[in-house]
Amino acid sequence: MRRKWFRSSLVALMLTVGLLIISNAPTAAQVTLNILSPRGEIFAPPIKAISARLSSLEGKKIGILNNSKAGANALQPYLEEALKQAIPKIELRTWGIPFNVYPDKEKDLKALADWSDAVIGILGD
Amino acid sequence: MIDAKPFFSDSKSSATGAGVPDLQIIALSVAATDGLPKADLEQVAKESVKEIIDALTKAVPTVTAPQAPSQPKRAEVLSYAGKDYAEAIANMEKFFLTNRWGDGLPIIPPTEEAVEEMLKGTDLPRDHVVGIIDPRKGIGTVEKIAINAVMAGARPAYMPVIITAVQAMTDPAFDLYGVQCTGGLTAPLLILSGPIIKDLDVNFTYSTAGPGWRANSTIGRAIRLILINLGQAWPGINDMKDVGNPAKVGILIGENEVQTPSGWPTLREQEGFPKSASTVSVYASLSYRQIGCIYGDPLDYIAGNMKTALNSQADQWGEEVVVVFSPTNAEIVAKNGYTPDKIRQVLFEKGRVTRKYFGPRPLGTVAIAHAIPKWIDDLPDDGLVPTVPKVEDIKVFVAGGRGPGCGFFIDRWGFGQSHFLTKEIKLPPNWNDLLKNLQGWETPVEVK
Repeated sequence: MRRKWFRSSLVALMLTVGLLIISNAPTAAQVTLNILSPRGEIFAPPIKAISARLSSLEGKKIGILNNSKAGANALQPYLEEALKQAIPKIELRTWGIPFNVYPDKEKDLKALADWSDAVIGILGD
Repeated sequence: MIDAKPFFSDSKSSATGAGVPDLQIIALSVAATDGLPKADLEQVAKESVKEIIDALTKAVPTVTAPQAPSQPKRAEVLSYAGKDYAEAIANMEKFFLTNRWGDGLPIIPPTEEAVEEMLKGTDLPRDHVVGIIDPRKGIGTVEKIAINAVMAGARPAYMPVIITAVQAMTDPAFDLYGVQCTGGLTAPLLILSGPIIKDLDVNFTYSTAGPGWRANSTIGRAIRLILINLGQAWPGINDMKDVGNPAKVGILIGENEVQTPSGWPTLREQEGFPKSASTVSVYASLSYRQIGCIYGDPLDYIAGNMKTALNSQADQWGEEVVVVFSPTNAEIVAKNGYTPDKIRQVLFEKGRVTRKYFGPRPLGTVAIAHAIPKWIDDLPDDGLVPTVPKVEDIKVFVAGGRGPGCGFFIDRWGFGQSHFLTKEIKLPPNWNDLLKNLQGWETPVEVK
């Protein structure tokens, strides 16, 4: 009987030790690799608010800024037509101002801004 | 603002980068409008009208302005765990791929120690801003450049080239914004000239434009990673190249000065630098066309390529073009009395196309590029137009090995805005130590 008790105690002790060993075993995530982020900090330009929205486009002068690429040229007349159908009293005027080298860019952009109550830009490729 | 559907993210990114995040952008339902039938254009226009009216009349919530950084911050430390380093590296790579921080190839982990080692390649302070990288205007500090150079597998001695290339690409004359975002299939090409080629074991002979040499491959790759991580350009988001360009992986070629015919000035001398200098040139390359000489006069081949290129891309007229002679090509034309100046003159005369390739008149309303001057518009249909605005816009130099005589004509991109730029590479005071540390990283070159 005493021998049986001793054997049971020994098994219990071994199990406890085994459990302790297992609980102290290396975990799966043991190694940590530290690196420096390659991402650039973004230079944040001053935020410019867009103009106040118009209450309606009726009777308003809407400038169209066409970037002079083929896609914009293709769509522009159809867009003008569709706008006139939706708002018969709208006044439209187009400026073809390319995105690239263009000596009068600033002057033309100012003329567009001065004339218009609002501007629609058409980007085409 | 109205743009084709796939370009919505690109327009949004540009508006935010320009400081107008509230700009109302309307995505058309189609990928492109040029070439669409009339009925489709009418439909696209009609279905956008309501959105246009709403965009101009409905209130827009205002975005709070973030504070612009007064001084660049030190790089953030990122941690990746794993059961061992291989797994931690794999987890880092997965994170990079998921977040679009890499180029798809395995990367070297930019640990603090590796970055410190890379920083030995320059005497510029860690927080020195080399340039602002378009399109997202990432602040290109020396530290961030070094981090990306580590990831590419570059050696510290390559840093002066990488830094100078970044300086050149952030020069407004290169139009990095356009290069990064355009739908045109351009990629920056780097060309090295000078004693640094030998110092860094740059391959300047056979397949100089291809893989096999640490410097060629990793300097080019570092530039691509910088463009990705600092410029934050990404395909389909704000980099709209339909099918891309193999050179986007990163390409650096070395001038073969050893086999440049005697009496021919080097590229750097042609660009106004002393022979003792080392330079890097950056070029918004488009297509790489082989020129040959085994069937006749190589200048005829080059002129033919120039014409073909211009016929298909007349709107790209305003930039320089690059002609890379192999030593075999160069030897033959030199024996026939040609120098780079004479070659330029011949190509300027022979490589002309007729006015009709520039499209319908007047150019001002239909042409993409106002870089195309009025005198071209005024020519009769059969009037001849040279391939570049000025004779000196044809760049000529020797690179590669002595094979059958296959050089490159490299076509341009840029709508008159992106220019071939050359900058002198400044070496740090510890240059000789850096070169000592390059020992063992060489791959032999074959000069035959």
